[in-house]
Amino acid sequence: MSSITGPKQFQIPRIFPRPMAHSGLWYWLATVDHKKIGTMYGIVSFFWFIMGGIEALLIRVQLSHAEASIISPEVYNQLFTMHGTTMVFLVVMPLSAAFFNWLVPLQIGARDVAFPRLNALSLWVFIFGSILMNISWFTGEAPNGGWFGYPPNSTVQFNPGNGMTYWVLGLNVLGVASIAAGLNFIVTIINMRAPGMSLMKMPVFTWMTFITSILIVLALPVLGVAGIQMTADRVYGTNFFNSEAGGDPIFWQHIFWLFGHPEVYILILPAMGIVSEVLPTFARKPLFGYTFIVFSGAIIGFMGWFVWSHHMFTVGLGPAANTAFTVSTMLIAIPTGVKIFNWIATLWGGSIRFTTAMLFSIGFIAMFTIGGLSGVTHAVSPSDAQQQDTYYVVAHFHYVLFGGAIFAIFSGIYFWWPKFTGWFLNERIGVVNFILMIVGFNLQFAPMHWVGLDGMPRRIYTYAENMGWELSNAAATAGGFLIALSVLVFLANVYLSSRKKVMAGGDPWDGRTLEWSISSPPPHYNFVEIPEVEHIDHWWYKKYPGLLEGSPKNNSEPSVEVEDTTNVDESKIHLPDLSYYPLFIGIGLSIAALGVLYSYALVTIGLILVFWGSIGWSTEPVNEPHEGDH
Amino acid sequence: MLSKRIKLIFNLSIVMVLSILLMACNPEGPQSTFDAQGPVSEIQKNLFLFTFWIAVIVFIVVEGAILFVTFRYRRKNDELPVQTHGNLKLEITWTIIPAIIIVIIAIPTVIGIWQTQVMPDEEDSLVINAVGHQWWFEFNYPSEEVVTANELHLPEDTNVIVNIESQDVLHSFWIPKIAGKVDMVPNHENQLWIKADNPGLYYGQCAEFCGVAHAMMRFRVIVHTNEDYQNWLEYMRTPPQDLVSGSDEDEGRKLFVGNCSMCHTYDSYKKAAYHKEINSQYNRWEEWKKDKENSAIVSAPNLTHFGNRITLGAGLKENNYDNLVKWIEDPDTIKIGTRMKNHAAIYTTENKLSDLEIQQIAKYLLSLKPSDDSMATYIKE
Repeated sequence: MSSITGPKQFQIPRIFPRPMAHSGLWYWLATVDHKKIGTMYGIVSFFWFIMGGIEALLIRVQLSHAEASIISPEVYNQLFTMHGTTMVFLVVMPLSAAFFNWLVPLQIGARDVAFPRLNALSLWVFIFGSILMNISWFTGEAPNGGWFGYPPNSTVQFNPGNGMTYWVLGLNVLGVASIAAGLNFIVTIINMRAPGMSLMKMPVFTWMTFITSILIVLALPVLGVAGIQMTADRVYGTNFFNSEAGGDPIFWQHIFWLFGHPEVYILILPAMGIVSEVLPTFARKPLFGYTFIVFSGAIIGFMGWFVWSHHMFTVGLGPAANTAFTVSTMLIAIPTGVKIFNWIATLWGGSIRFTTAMLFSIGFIAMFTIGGLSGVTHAVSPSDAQQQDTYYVVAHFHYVLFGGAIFAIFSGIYFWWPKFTGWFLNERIGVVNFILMIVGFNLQFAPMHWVGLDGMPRRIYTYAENMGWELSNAAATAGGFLIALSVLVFLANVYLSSRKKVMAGGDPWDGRTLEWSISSPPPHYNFVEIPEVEHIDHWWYKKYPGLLEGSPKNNSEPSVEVEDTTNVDESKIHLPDLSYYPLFIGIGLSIAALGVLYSYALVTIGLILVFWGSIGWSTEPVNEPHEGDH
Repeated sequence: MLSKRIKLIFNLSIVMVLSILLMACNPEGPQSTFDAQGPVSEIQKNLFLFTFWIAVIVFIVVEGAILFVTFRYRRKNDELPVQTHGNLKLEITWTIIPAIIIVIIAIPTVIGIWQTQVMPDEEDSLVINAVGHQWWFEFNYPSEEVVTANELHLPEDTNVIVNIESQDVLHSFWIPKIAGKVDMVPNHENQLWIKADNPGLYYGQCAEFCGVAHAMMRFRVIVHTNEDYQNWLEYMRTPPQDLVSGSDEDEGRKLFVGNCSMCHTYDSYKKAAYHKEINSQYNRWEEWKKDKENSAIVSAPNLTHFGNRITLGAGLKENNYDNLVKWIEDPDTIKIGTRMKNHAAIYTTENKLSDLEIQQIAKYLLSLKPSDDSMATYIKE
């Protein structure tokens, strides 16, 4: 990467000098390093994970017994709305983005993503968007219309006040962050792979990132349109969804789920990618059926567009539509099943080491399978008429999104933590973390299956005593607290491990992909020299070249070591300089959105920030002339 | 060390599975879908169980395989295992097997969709209109010209087509033991076919999030023998018992007519009252829409023969004197969000009712039923 130092071009006057330091607050605010951005994504979204978890616990406390009155119905509705919204948009998506950021450049042998400043923009827009949405708690008007925001209940006619406007504006802002990130990773993966790394030699995690990014770029604009329409309805009095003026509430459901179902795969495909990296590493075998896993992911991503109305089986679309969406939904079970079988086959005949990361990944397969199977029972649309909007659905998608996505994310955290930081998380505490989580998880969500089939609807803040739901609900609440405990154990693990660091080295797990071929944490330029890739799992075969001839015998000692980078001459490596403009655009966008609620002055201030940031950004060179440059 | 851990995990999971299974489904629950009492819920239940048992087999195979590999292939030494990359035959096999399973499930499913969602012939069916309101259910019998609320009366073993709509936000009409739910959508009429096999009392509940009192939007279904059903219709057309002038009930009647009857119709037993009530309900809605804060009227449940209702507050509380007094005093203590308190003048400080007046109204409401009680056979809770 060479610096651009052409003729001096126009630059708008700077208010602050361009930061050049490589540490300190200013550095973190202006960084364009994908690893730092990934870290910030991770920390911020883990914070929201804790917030969303507290919201869930409050819900569980209120439901712990019949006729409870611990939490008022108004607050209860806010809690479940924000729990869902938080976990989808502020936790699983950005936690996945944390992994994309950290890993994709490392896995494809690149120094950074294609558009480092755009990457920083995604981060800041996400952070301020998430704050924007949650400011509503402090004004006492948190969103209360469900994470799906179905009109007319979310229209200003039936839901006056600012709550749902915060929600929809927040979603629109977050959508900007997601779309920008999606584009960035598509371009990065297409253009920045190391020489020799053809698409079918890419690590599976990078593949899943690629498919997810395509889904993001296609699906989030759909939500964007719906969001703008709803904002217009709520703020400017249009009638897209206002049933009182003849608007069509079902219209919203179609666009929301046309986004919402691909969104499900946006949430789960990265998790599948993580698991596909962890399993081979700790089984010391290549991923079984790489091609099939990759294509299954692509097929799932594609077919995910044809199933949205299975969220609407009871809306009254008629038997023909329900038949079509029943069949298309069932078909998705096939590629999903193929993935599960291939993961098990990866373990088959392996030499399995039960690290915490591995336990979480195996837990993922076990739990995700249950979620997949209950998903098939949902696809059976006649019986879904009994399940729709009951706790059976709640059980199903928590098995997919918690037992699936969150388990995989924890697996990924334990797996790549030594790469991110250079030291290990404690494995013993990790096992406790895992056991508490899987026990708590099943105790919380398994009973929801039958309490749903016994007729308990979702989103009710209370229930009568004689319904036969009490024992299951009490168990679920207990399970919720076990999960909370497991998260505390995780945080304790981070704290204790950081106090007494056990250093990891570059390749602590005998890894397979390029990120393990460099030191931990990676130097800011990642690779001293961009590697030439010849195989899938390039690093693995570099270590065990004998395996290419087929025989694993006498090949058990790695033949190369992670490169020592202590004496690298960094002056030959050029990385883009810091930029504070993404931060300003991020702040500006959220201020402008907040202004839609409160005052045009704020909109103006926000837009000025956005324009100033955009012009500043587009006119600033990637690099300032460095000392010692040619 | 490692095997200890695995044993611990294994033991824990067995304890967990057993304790969880202890709580499993109880068909006795009033809304349990496992106790199907009509052909629609029966089809739905059987399809679920069919899929469920197939899923159980897949579950045992997959989870069994996971357990097997985790025990069998634990790392024993530093040797690298045989490096397999894939197997085309296996891939084809485990693509085809799920495909076959899907076909096996899809065929009865598609048949089930058309069985449950194609309406029976309207001429041989009873047609009922169910209208969702925040947060109660209106039930109209257009051919019988009967109106009621929160209690649906059905004849046994008869095809019923329920026309389902909503006046305000989305709701969902659901009687778990009789049929799966269908959403109530404004500007969009849906239909649901139901048929109840056996007389009895059933529970229904709104299943689509509809705002602050969503949890408290419930209803009851009373399935009668055909003879009893005819009696009930006759009953709904019979005037209520006469009141002794000057009695508490009669004083309550005056108070009710003066303060409550703008929104709560109480005399739909009369001839030709049906269409009037449909229109009134519509007008109340239109009036409320114009000024949601200050409107003097709002859609409200029809109270004809309220004295014979099982519950008050849309399936919330037993309909008895004490509950009713509490309800009239301050409905919010029983059910949040009731519009009554926002719109009825009696809740303003200047027009506040005295305790005695509230008691009189309660007594009147409980007297609202024909003197010949035998015509309405109810299964009391």
